[in-house]
Amino acid sequence: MKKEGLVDFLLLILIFSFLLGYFNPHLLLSQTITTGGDTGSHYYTAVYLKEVLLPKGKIMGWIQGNYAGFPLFYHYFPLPFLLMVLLSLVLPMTIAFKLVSVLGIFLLPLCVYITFRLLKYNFPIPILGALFTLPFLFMEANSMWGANIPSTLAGEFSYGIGISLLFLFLGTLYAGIQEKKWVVLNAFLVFLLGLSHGYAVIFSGVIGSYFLFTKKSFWENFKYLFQVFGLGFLLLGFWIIPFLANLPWVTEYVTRWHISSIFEVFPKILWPGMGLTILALILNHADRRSWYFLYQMGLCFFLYLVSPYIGMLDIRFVPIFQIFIAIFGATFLLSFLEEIKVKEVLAAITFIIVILWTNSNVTYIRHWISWNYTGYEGKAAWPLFKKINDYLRQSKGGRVVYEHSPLNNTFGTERAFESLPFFAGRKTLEGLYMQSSISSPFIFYLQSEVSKVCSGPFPQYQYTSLNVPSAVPKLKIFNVTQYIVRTPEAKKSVAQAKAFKLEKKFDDYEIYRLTTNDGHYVVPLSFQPVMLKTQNWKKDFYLWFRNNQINDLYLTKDPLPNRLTAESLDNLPRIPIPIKEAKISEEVKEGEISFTTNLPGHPHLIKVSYHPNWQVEGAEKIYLVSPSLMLVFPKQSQVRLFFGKTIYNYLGEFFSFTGLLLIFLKAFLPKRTKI
Amino acid sequence: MLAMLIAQMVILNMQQTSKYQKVIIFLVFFLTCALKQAVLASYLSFNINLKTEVRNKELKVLVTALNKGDESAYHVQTELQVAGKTIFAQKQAELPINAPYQAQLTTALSLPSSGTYPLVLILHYTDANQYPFSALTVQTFSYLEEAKSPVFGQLKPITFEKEGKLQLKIKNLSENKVSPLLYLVIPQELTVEEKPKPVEIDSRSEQNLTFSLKNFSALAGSTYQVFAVAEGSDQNLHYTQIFPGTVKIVSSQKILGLSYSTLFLILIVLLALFILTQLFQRKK
Repeated sequence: MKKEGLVDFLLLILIFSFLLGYFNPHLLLSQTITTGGDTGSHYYTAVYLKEVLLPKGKIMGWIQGNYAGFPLFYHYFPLPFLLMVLLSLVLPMTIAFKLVSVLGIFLLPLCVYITFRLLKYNFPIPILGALFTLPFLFMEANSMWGANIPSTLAGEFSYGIGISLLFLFLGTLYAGIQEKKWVVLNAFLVFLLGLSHGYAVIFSGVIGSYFLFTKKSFWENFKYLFQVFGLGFLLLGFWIIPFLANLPWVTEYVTRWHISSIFEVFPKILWPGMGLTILALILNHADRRSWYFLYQMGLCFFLYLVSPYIGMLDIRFVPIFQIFIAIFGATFLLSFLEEIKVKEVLAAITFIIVILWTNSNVTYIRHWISWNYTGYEGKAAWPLFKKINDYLRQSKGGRVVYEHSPLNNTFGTERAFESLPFFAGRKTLEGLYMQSSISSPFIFYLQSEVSKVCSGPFPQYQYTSLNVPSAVPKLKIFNVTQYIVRTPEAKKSVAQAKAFKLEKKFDDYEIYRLTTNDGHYVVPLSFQPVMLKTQNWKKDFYLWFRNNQINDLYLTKDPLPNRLTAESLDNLPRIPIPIKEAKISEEVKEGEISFTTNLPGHPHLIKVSYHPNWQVEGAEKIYLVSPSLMLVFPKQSQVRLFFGKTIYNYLGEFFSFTGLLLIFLKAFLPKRTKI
Repeated sequence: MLAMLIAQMVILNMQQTSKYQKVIIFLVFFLTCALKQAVLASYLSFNINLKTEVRNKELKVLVTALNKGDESAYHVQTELQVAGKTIFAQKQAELPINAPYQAQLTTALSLPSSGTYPLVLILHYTDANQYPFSALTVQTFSYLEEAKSPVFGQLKPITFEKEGKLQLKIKNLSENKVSPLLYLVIPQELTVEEKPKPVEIDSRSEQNLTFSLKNFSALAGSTYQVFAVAEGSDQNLHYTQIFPGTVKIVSSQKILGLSYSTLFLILIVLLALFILTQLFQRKK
């Protein structure tokens, strides 16, 4: 037994060494800002959490830098970022970020190993399970589905961490429910899963449902699961209650993912594992644990099919399925394990075969790792990127918009300019967490109007083509004062817009100033706002935004003090408001906007995204105004808006506190069950 | 195929097969899969066809390329290098599987003498991840009059990870001494140290030349086409001879600090040890 433990330990070390052969420690420990795909835009989030939110005692809060402001971590997962901040107490943030960004990759073999142990599989099955994660991790067939190395490098490290913890939960729940122990541990894992990734916590429920398919222990299992998931939900309350309550204030991204070939789901690198999994299911179908795995695989497939109908992204369940078919083959040996001699040698043989097989199927991963972890600073175009950012930092104004272009990848990622708030201290429009914002559809429409190539991520919205003159009124709505242009086509288009003036050139990049916008975030309206009677404000405001004939006449969906209403966009009453000389001074901070005005009672547009957590002093209420911004009617000259807490935040915090209290009480009450 | 056959055998003959045989079948099955590196991974591959025509001192090149890979190619563009000029064709945003790409390029020629000249065609494209690739082809065209090359040669294929030496064996078939200009045409993913230089070759004799290549951004597992080109004058006619060759890029030959061959050796020893132990125990 001791010898087997040593072999397991040595092989786990060798698995990590194999991974480190790709993830060069020299790169991981160098002080550069990680880039590559979405990863390049996550760094600012970690810095913001450390420098802005946590000092105010918050994990979730408002961020002004992207999407005209959006609620950070209300609809994204804070655990990886909290770990980064924690690590940054002893390491530079750049390195802390890198280490957490690869955490899911290193955790998966370990979690699978522990799970096989907890399912009481004998040596060498647990270590073989850990080994069989390698072909999945190095699978290059996709880079967007999640959990494999390419997806993690593309920025999906939260999902990777969540899935690794999910495979740990697979074992701890099985062991816990058998012996009615580890309620708190499993509840804590549910809590961590929730903070890591939504799909991980959803699938934890699927894992739990397996234990209800029994007549004998149904009520016992139900009680156990109720305790685990109930306590996990309570602990998660501070995050999940505001998450659920604010779902109307996100932009849905639901689509049937296009899979062009069956080999994307079953790529060559997984074939040996798949073959063994099929054999294992045939040979060991009488074993209860096989049914446990088979149930999860079946549910992955089922969830994949029904996801688009229940508002979820189907493809997120495919990596979980792939991991199952990759690792379950390790149990192939089960039926004749007792008769095999020198199992340690068998484990060593399998290790060599797996690493040879994995290595022979890898092409671009090493290059991607180098690209990501040499960082922005390691790119040949870094001096140019720095010059652009330095210029923007010293040139004042409102928001900066940029031409979306694959050519921006030269800086490390196509998304490089999303980090203008970090590199230049300037707010921009596009950002990474597009579902977290109600402004994102409008911003991607603008992107299509100012870019030769547009990304158009939301299939439910229609986009347009490059036409900078047409974008001018919309850019003013979002308080854009500068425009970064890259392609000759966009340069030609901006030349046709008289409102733009060339301000600066940096190699192929040109920065233009929108001369007709003074860069103020708080402006008095020129026309009376109108309440539009609408069943779908997102759709109607989108149509309004696209139409330059009417988008200077702002709409709300709620009754206004002026009682103006319209039945449709075709007959909007256009009533000018006479303005004597407006004197408005504003201060826009993270999570707070204050202004003084000489026009109390006059409708004031605040060019920051609406969210129900915004509260106001000096006005009756905040209106959601088209396209997705805020409108107030000041009662006095001094007005202050702040991003506070709603009843849902308080309720969630109460739940979390109750969860902690229950754990505390359980620890001090006489033990009836093992914790 | 073999793996599937074995798997089928295992399923069908489960009752008759001893447990030890199952273990060995398992190992053979797995090992076979591991060692047989098929080429079914997602890939991009092009069939490129070139047609040239010289009329009124104007060269017309018709390029036809067919995407024979199993994924779309993006930002497909042709670059033509001829007589010191570089011309680009219109870029095509996406080229789906089995879809043809066509481009026609025209350029005026002002060449010093009649004869056969080289043209270099580079097909630039990216994969879905925006990773840039290029496919290279070199061909000759006749300007006013065709010229036969007095030299002949061969490029040896090479395999390396970071650096390699490409060897060209060239021989002069004529009775006169020749001194063609020799150079290498390679894809942008590779770098060559040697600049074009004239090489003197005596009549009816051979020479061995070496080019030092470096991997700039070539992907492991890919094979790149390279060309050595010899250009010169013979009897007032310009001649060109092209010698095609291949460069295969392989990934690091070391895993955990051990070479592939060492790992295979360890594997064979362990396998032998394992199988013998099973048989020995069985006899006992």
